[in-house]
Amino acid sequence: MAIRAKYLLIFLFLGVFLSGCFTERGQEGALLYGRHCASCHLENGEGLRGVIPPLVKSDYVEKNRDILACLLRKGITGPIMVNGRQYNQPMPGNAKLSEADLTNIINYMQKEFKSPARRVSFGEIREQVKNCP
Amino acid sequence: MKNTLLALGLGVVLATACTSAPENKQLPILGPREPKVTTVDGKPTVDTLYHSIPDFAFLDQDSQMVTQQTVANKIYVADFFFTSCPSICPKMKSQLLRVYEKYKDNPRVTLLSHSIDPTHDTVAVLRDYADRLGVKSNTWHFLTGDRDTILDMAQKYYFTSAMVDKTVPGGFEHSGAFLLVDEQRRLRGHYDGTNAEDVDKLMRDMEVLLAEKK
Repeated sequence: MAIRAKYLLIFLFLGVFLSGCFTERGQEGALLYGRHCASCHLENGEGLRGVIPPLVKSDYVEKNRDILACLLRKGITGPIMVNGRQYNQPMPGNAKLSEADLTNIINYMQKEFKSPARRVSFGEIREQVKNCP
Repeated sequence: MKNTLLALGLGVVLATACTSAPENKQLPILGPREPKVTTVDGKPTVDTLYHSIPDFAFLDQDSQMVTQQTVANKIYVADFFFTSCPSICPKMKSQLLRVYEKYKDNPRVTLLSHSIDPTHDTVAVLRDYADRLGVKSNTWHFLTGDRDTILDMAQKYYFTSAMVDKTVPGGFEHSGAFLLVDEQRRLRGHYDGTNAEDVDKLMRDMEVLLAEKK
């Protein structure tokens, strides 16, 4: 009985620790977005009127779903059209973002800003960065 | 019974304490001050000289010269930024846009955004930036000029940091401060331009300043 109780305790502890891990994972996208994206696109993803394009329901994000990870790593220069408006402010790329980081950031955008419309998988991103233009 | 009375009394005191008429709120005058002694009728009288923003001349997005004359009889908000800034500027600008939207039709209010990267931020670049924000130059001036003069203004007179630093993204280190300046060009408030609540306070303080008797 005593042994059982001990096991139970260990399981309980493990459970607590592991759940800690998972919730940390869940917030990873928010942390990364805050660190790398929010100073320009702002916390709520609305950007800066006319200067920094919005990420909320962005048709540009949706259209470029298959190269989003590449854009985040390499940046964007030159004019782009977002939701019917032209923007021309270079976006610096961040080559240090890992495939997991990129997946987390894009899925955070998906969850918060509804673009892209569908989530991305880690495997998808891994393939994507291999074939960056 | 005694206790009830006591509680009632306390309640009344507290209620009146909280609802008493708000005093005429005054904003502090920031910066160092000096006594100025003048002799009037053989008697020395002491006046206080407050720190104030000196005369200046910068070009805005419409190639107009903006000077102390531009802000004469107005209160203004000053900040320091650059258009290609990848760090705090978009946040500052989205906050200053809120101030602009509230005061754009008030002839007694002006906004001065000084570029600390005037080599890149020419009149044409500032023009494009202001157009994109949808901002009119008679309320919100984006200023360019000699870089050292602008950096000096920031450090020595607006008491905010702005300097060249090649190690930070964008190449300039600067604070996200908004400075509130009164009609006599004295500093009356200092706010964090990246913080929405602090910018709310700025707008409340602008009301106080606009209501101030000259």
